[in-house]
Amino acid sequence: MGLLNIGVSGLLASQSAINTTGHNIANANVEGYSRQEVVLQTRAPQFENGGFIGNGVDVETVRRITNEFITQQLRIDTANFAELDAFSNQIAQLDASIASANTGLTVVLDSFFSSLAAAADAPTSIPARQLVISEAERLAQRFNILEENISNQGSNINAQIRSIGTEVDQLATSIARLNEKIIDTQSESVNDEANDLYDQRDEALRQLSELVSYSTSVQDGNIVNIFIGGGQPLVLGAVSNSVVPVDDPLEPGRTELAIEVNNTLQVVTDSFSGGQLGGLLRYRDEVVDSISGSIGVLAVAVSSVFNAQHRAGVDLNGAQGEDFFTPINSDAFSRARIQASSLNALPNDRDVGVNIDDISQLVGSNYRLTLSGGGTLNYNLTRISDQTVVSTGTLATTFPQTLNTDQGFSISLNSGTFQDGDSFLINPTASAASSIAVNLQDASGLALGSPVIADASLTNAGTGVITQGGVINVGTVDPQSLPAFANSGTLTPPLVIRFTSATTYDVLDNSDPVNPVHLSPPLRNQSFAPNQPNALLPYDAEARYVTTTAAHVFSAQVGAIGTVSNGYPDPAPGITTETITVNTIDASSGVNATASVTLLDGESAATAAARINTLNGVTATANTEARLEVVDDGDASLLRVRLNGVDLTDPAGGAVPNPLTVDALAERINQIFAGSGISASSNGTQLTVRSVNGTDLRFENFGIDASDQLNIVEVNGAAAAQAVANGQEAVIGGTVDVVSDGGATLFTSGGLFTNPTPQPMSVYLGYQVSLSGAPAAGDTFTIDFNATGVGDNRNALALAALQTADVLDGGSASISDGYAQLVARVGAQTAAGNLDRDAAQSLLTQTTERRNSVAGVNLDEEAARLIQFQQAYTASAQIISVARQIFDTLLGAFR
Amino acid sequence: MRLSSLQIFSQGLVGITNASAEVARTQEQIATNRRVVNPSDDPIASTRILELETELSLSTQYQRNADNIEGRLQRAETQIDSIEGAVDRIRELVIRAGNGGFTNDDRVQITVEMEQRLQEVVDLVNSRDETGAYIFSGFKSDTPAFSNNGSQYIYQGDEGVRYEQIANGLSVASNETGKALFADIPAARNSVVATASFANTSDVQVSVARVADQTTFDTVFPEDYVIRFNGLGNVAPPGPNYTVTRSPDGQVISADVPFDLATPIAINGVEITLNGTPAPNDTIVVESTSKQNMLNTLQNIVDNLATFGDPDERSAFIADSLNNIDNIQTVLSSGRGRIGARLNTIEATRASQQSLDLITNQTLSELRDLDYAEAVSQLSFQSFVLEAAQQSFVQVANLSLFNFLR
Repeated sequence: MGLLNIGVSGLLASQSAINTTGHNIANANVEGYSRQEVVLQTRAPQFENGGFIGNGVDVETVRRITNEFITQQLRIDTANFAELDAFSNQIAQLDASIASANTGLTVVLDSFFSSLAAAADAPTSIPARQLVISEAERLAQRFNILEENISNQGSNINAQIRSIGTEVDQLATSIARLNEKIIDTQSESVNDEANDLYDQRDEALRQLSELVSYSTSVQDGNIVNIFIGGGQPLVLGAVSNSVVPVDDPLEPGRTELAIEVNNTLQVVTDSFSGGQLGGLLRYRDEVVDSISGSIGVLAVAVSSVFNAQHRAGVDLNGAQGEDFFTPINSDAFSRARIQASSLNALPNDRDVGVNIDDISQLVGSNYRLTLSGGGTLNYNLTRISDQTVVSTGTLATTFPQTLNTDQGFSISLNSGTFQDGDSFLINPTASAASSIAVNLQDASGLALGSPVIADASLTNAGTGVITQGGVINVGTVDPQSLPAFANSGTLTPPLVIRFTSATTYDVLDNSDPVNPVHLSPPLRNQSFAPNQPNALLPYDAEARYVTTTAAHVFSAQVGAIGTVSNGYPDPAPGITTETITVNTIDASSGVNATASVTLLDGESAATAAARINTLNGVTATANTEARLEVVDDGDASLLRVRLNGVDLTDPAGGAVPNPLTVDALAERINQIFAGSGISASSNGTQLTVRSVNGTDLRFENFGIDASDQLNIVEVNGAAAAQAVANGQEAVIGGTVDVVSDGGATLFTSGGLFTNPTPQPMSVYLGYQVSLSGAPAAGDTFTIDFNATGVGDNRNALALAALQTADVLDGGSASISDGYAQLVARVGAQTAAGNLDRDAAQSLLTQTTERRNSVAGVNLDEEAARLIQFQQAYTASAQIISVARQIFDTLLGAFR
Repeated sequence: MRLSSLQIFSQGLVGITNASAEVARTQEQIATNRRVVNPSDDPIASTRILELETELSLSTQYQRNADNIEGRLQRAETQIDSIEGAVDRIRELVIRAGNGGFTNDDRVQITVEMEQRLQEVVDLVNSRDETGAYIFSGFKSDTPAFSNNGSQYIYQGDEGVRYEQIANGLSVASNETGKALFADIPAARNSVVATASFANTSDVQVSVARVADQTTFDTVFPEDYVIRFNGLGNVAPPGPNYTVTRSPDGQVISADVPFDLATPIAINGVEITLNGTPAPNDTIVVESTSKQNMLNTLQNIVDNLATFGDPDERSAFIADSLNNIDNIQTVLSSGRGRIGARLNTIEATRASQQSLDLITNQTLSELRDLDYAEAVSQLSFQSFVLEAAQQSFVQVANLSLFNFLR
C-alpha cells in the first residue's frame, strides 16, 4: 500500500506543481501578478523493520513569491512618479503655448507698439489710427486667450480632482472588500494564504498610489489599513470612508476633496501629496494661480500705463483722450477682485472693493484678509504665495474706509456688517487678463497729440527757442484730474511767460491776453540760465508754495529821513528775529534732516531769500513792488526824490519837468538802475517800481515844499494809502516766495511767514515746456491748449515709449521684460519638472524591474518547470504502475 | 539576475519608445529650424530670444521711421529749394528794377513776373504731402501754413515740430515749421503786427497796419500798444472812440479819440486801418517787431516797386528790399542746412542700425536656430539606435523555450 500511496502523493504533488506552473504561464501578463510555486514537503516517515521508511510527499502550500519591501518601495515610487508626471503634463501645455508666436504675447505686443510708431509718423491718417485700435484689440484678445488657457487648465484640474476623488473612493471600497475576503479565506484555512487576493489587493494599492500618497499599517498580519492626507483613515479593515469633492468655501470655483469620517466632512486637500492628485494640486497652487496672477499684472500694467498716457493726450477732435482700455478700477473690476468667504457670519451685506494704486508694486499673488477681535476689529492681510503677513492694523468703526497696503492695491470697505472671523480672498490681478478690453472705438478718438502748445511771440527780440513740452508725471497723477485740464478743450488758465530780465521771468495767467495777471499762487522772478535748456514750470508734483503774509509786508514804513528800516521780520512786539526751519525727508533713504536760518532785524527780502536758498529742499525768490503817485504843485520849490540813495531829480541827469511826472521818474529809474533788477513803469498817473531781487525800495522826499508829496497806493500787490511828506522817507520791503520740494516742510517761529507752519499751496501745473537760447527782457512765450494740432504726435511718441518703459517690479522691468521673465519661469519650471519626472521614472522603472525580477513570471523558467514536473508526474505514474505490477505479481503467486 | 518575461518585453519596448521619442524631437527641431522650440528647452535662452526679437521688431520700426522721415525731409528740402529759386529770381528782378534807365511802366512789367513768382512761393509754402497734410504748418497739418486775410499773409500754423525715433535714444525732427522758415526772419526795418483780440464781440478786423513814420517809430521801438474801444458817451457828440495804452505798463498814449473807419489810428508813427464796426471794449493788440514775414515782404515789393516817383525813395526801398531778401535767403538756407544735417544723421544711424541688426540676428540665430550639420548627424545616429533597438527586440522576443517544446 505504501508504494501506491507514495506514487499517488507524487502524482498529486506533480499535478499541483504543473497546475501552478500553468497558472503562472496563464497569468504571465496580468498586471501585479506574483508568480507562485508549490512548496512540497516530505511526509513523515514510518518506523518499520528497523528503519524509517518514507511515506511520499505532501503539498504544503502554494507560495506567492514576492518581496514586501519592494512592493512598498514600488508604491512610493509610483506615487512620486505619478505626481511629477501629472505636473509635467500640465505645465507642458503652458510651455508649448506661452512663447509661441501664435499664442504668446511678445509678437502682438511688438506689433501693437509698431502700429503706434506708424501712427506717430502720420497722426492724421485714419487707417494708421485704426490699425492701432485693431492691434490693441489683438493684444487684448491675446491676453484673454492666455488667461482662458490657464483658467481652462484650472477648471480642467477641478474636473480631474473630482474624477480622482471618485477613483480613490472606488479603490478604497475594493481594498476594503479584498481585506474582508482575505479575512474570510484566511479563517477557512489557517495555513494557506489567498495568494491571488493578495495580488489583487497589492495591485489596487499600487493603483491607489498612482492617484495619491498614503500610508499603510498592517493589522493581524494580513489586513491593510490606509491613511491619507494628514492621517485620516481611508480604509480600516473592511470599512472604507468615502472621499467627496466639495467647493472651497474661501474660494468658490475651486474643487477640494473632503473625507467623510463618522458623517463629518473633513477637507484634506492641503495635506494631500504625491500621486496624480498631488501633482495636480501642486500645479494648481504653484503654477495656475501664480501665472494667472502674473499675466494679470501685465494686463493691468498695460491697461493702466496706457490709459494714463492716453488721458494725457488730445485726439483728432481736440478733446482730451479717454481711457484706451477698460479702466482698471471700474466699479465692476474693483468688486470682482475681492470675494467674501461663504463661511462669513450673516448678514451677508458687506460691500467691499479692491483698487489697484501702483502697478510697480504688484506681485501677482493672491491675498487673504481676515478680521478678528470683538468691538474694534483688527485686520490681517496675508500674501498667499508665501504665507507672509504684509499688513496688519485696526479698523476704524465707521465706513467707508480704505486700507492701504504696500502691495500696489488698496482695499475699500464701503459698508456692511464686518464681524470677527470674516475672511476675504483678494486676487488683485488673477483673471485680470480675461477682462482687458479696448475701450476706445473711434479711430479719431485716439489721443496722439499733446494738450499743450507753446508759441514764441514773433515780436520777441531775444533768441529764446521754446520746445513743445507736454504733460509730465503721467502715471503718478491722472492728467485729467489736474486743474489745468479740468475743462476739456481749454487750458485752465492759458499761460504767458514774460521775461522780466535776461535771467528772470514771470509765469502769468493769459486768460486775457491784453492784461495777463499773476497766477495764484504766483510764479514770479523764476530764474533762467541763458543758452541752455531750462524747464520753465514747476516739475515736482509735490512742490508746495508759501509766501510772506505778515501785514507789514503789504505796507511801507514811513518816517523822517534816515530813521526808517523796512521793519522786517518783526514777529511780535519786542522780538525782531524769525527762525525758519526746513525739515526734509529723503524718500529713498528715509533720512530726516532739519536745517534752519534766522532772519535778522531789518533784513531785506533779497538776502532773506538768498539765505533760505541755502537750505536743502526749498527754493526762495524775492520780489518788491510798489506803486506811487506824485503830488507836486509845480511851484518854484521843487519836489526832490531819491530812490535807494540815488537822486532821481538831479538836473545833471537831464531836464526834470516841473511839476514832476511819474513818466519822468520811470524813465530816470530805468536809466539809473538798468541791470540792477530794479525797473519802473508808468501809466501816466502812477509809477510802478519793481525789484526782481527783492531789494528794499527806499523813497526819500527831500524837497522843501510841504505841499509836494509821494503817495504810496500799492505795496506788493496790496492797496495802501500812505503819504510821504517832505523830509520823510518810505521803505518798502519785499515778499519772499518759497517753493518746497515734495518731502520738505517749512516751519517758522513767526514773522514774515505765518506761524508756525505756513499753509502751503500747490504750484504744480502738470505740464512742462523747455526754453533754450537767450531771451531778452520783455520777450513773451504763450502756452495754450493744443485744440487744432492734428499733426501732433507727441503723445503717440509717449505711448510708443511705454514699450521700453520700466513700469513693473518697482520700476525695474518693462512690460516685455515682465513677459519674458514669465516665459523664463514657465520654461525653467517645465524643464525642472521634466528632469524630476525623468528621474522619478527611472527610479520607478528600476523598482518595477526589481519587483518583476522577483515576482514576475519567466516563461522559459516555467517551460523548464513544466518539463520537470511532467517528468516527475510520469515517474510518479511509473511508481503506481510498479506498485500495480508488484500487486499483480503477488496476486499471481496465489493463482 | 533573474529576469521575468515581462521585463524582457518591457525593457525592449522602453528602449524603442525612448529612441523614437528622440528621433521625433530631432525631427521637430529640423522641421522648425529651431534649437529652442519650447521655453523649457532652454529657459534662459528663451528669455533672451524674446528680448532679441523685440529688439529686432523695434529696429525694423526705427528703420521704417527713418525711411518716412527721410521722405518727408527730402520733400521739404525740395520745396525750400524751389522757394529759394523763386526768391533768387525776385532778387534779380529787384536789382534790375533799380536800373535808373527804366520807367515805372518798365517796372510794372517786372512786377508782373514777380507776381507770378510770388504766387509760386505761396503755393510752395502751402504744399501738402501725400496724405494731404500741409507740410509747413507745424502740428496744424490740416490748416494751410499761410493765408491772406485781404491785406497780408498770416502764419496760421504753430511751432509744432514732429519727432520720430530712429534709434535707441535718438529722435529726429521730421518737419520744419513755416514760422521758423518764412515768418521769423530779421527785417531791415522795425514794423508792427496788429491783431484783433479773440474776445472781441464785433467783427472788427485789422486791414492795414504799417509804419508810416519810421523815424518816430524807431525811437519808441519795441513798445507794444493796446487799442481799446470805449463807451460811446466818452466823447461829445457821443460816438465810437478809443484809448491807446502802452502794454504792459498801461501808460495812456492817447485817450478817448473819436474813431471813424476812414481815418487810420495813429500811434507813434504807426498807422492802423480797421474793417468792420468796433463795439465798446473790443481791443486791438499792436505788437512791434523786428521780424518780417517773407510773403508780406515779397508782396510789399510787388505792390510798391513801380510806384515811386522819387528816385531816392525808390533806391532806399530797393536797398531795404534787397536787405530783406538777403535775410530771407539766409534763413531759408540755414533751414535747408538743418534738414541736410538731419538727413546725414539718418544716413549714419541707418548704417549703424543695420550693423547692430546684423549682430542681433547673429546672436538670435546662435541662441535659437539649429545647427543643421549636428542635428542631421544626430538624427541619423538616433535612427540607427532606433533600428538597432527594434531589431534586437525582435531577436530577443523570438527566444523562448516553448519554441522547442514540440
